[in-house]
Amino acid sequence: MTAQFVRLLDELQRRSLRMASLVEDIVQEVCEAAFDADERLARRAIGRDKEVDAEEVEIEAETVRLMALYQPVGSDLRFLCTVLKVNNDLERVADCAVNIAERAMHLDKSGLGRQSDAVHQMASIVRRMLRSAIQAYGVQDAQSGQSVFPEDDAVDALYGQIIQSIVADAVRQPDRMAAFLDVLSIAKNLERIADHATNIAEDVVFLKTGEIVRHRGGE
Amino acid sequence: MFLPRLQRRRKVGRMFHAACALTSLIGLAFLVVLITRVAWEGLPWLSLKFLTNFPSVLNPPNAGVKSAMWGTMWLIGITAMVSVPVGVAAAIYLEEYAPNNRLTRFIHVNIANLAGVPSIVYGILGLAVFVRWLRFDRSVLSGALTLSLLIMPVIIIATREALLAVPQSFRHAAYALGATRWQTIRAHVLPAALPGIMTGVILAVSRAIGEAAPLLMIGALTYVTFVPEGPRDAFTALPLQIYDWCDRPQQVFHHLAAAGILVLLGILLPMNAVAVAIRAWHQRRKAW
Amino acid sequence: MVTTMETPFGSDQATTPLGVTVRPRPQRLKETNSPPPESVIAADRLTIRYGTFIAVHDVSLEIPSRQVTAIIGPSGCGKSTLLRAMNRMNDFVPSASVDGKLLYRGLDIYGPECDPVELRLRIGMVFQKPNPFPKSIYKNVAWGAAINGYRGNMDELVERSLRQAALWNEVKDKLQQSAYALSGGQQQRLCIARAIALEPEVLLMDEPCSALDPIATSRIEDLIDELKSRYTVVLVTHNMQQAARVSDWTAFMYLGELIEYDDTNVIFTRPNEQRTQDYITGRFG
Repeated sequence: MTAQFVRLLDELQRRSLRMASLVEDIVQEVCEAAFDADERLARRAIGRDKEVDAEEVEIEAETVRLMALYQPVGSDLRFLCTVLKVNNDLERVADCAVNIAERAMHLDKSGLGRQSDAVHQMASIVRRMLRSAIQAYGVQDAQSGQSVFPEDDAVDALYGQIIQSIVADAVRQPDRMAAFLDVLSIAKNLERIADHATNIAEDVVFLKTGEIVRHRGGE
Repeated sequence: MFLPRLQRRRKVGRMFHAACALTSLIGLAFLVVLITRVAWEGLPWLSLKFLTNFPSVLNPPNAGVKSAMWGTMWLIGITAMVSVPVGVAAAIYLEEYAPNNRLTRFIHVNIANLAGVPSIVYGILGLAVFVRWLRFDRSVLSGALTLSLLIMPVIIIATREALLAVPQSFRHAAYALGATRWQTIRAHVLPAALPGIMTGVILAVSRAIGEAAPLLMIGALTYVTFVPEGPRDAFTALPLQIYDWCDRPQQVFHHLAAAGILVLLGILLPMNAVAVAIRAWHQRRKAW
Repeated sequence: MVTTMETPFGSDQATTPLGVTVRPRPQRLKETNSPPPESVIAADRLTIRYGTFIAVHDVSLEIPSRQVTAIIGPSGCGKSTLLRAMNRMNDFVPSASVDGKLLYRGLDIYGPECDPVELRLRIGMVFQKPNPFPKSIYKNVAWGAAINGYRGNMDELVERSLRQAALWNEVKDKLQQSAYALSGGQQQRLCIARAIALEPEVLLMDEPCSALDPIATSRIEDLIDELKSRYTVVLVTHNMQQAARVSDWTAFMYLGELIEYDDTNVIFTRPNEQRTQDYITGRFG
């Protein structure tokens, strides 16, 4: 009975990591699409999001099934709870990526404009955070996920800067409001992805120690 | 790959079944033959007169077993009064109180051995101790005490078995309620063991009724025409009377002996039946 | 008083109110601020042997008052031995010997001043297989009280005990019937009623549900939950889910040693010891 359960747990973890990998790819592509205004990449990202959604549903169903049938306790229980939560966060990340892709397709020839550097920086940090968090989730190591927390602060700071910059520009060039809103939306979604990456890192801490470290607010 | 050979196995089974049935039938046949023979010889002589008359050498047709029956009753009464309390108490002590060490085990083994000692040895012991040394003379008391010694090992063993059959869970449950050992024994162990003890006692006592050898050894008389008035009186018993009649050459006494045997059986068989009935009732009722 | 506020029973070398040096210590979740529970039974480096075989080795723990403490562990880990030591039922095993201390409210259970018969009035026991006496239901409940000189109204006591054992409604019309007419689950509740008729302080339960079907088990578990408002319950079980459902504190024993003893929630969500973790997730052999 236990051997079977252990096999199923391993299988579930592999599956969850495959989904994480898929989501990372989508984010990667979408960021490139946003910078290069590549419509083809954007469409591909949207298509793959459907894959992510389907996988999320199946992983959740399997997790609930394992909980019902095997009544896990201790680390097994924490693992399954973490899978559920991370599953959810990953799906949201994919959705955010889709949003970015859609905004990127709308961007006109001037692209990201003045905020381009800041957005680039955000995207790069966010990709790093996602990598760290998923890496930590994959090897179940709470320590390696720790780097995510300060980076979330950096992302928040950049986001603040971008807002200020856009507000200033919008006042001067109100005819380009649509483009500014698109840029803002892209930045917002990047910030959301960073939050989800932080959640995943916190989930890994719970997985290892059983402590719930959410909402620490810069601790 | 199996070679069941079911035919052969079934045949062997049937043969075994037949062999067992045959041997039981043979045993039963012996019993039937004996009883029929005795009944045929003795029944015509069995009458109320027989039960209420004293034995008579000169007037055989009017002889009776009155003195023998009364003697037997006196004997059994005193034997039961002595052997049952002592035997049961000894078994309770050995089983419930005494620690399980080499001494106790040694005692158990010896009691088992004593149960198998021929009854005449008890007769010799009784002669030496009760008749001579304690000067009880050839009285009912000596006879009863001798018989008590004879059947006490049997009672002890039967009581012990009955006590062992009481599940430990009863005792533990009682102790866990803050009961002392005696409270536990009195309220739960003894009542549960009682049917087994009673069965053992009845069987032991019925054995004592049928014993002739020890009584002969202690010198019980065989021709007695009075009824004992007290424990120090002389006596006779049914087995002895039967033995005496069998010993005489005249045919008529053999018939009297057969009738006496029927009386003895008439006492023993119901007693054993009661013992069996108690055990059967207990088995049905027992829920553990 | 305890020397640190972190834990209810003191830290590694602390002396508890009962004068016992306790280790390892149960840890409480930091969120709760309720005062530490009073301790009723304390073991201090308790070792129990059957002949040369060591059944319980160097165990120290305290049982908190009016809570359910479960002792779990694989077969042969010594949990039943430890339980039976608490009301000196081990006395009936000739080869059993005890080292170290076992205290009931400061009284040394194995010391000369402790009368085992009196001890069992305060510490009752329910056994694995229901073992009612072959008497009527009424007599089963009343006997223990009667031999201990109960002065009050026996009918009331019987009714009260049967009510507390959640059995009254099912048997109130047939109190004179034999206890053996009841089902297994009812018999076990009768045994519980019998034990609580003596109004003990502590109720020791040695795998009380292992001979029962799931529905009867569930009723007894509900009963245990009610009982803990009045009695301190120490429960030995090999059913981990039962320990998780029913107990406030859980002690995990393995091969005679106490591996971990803590709040049940902690044991089953994030135990500190790897062996505990392996046992509760079934990774043990």
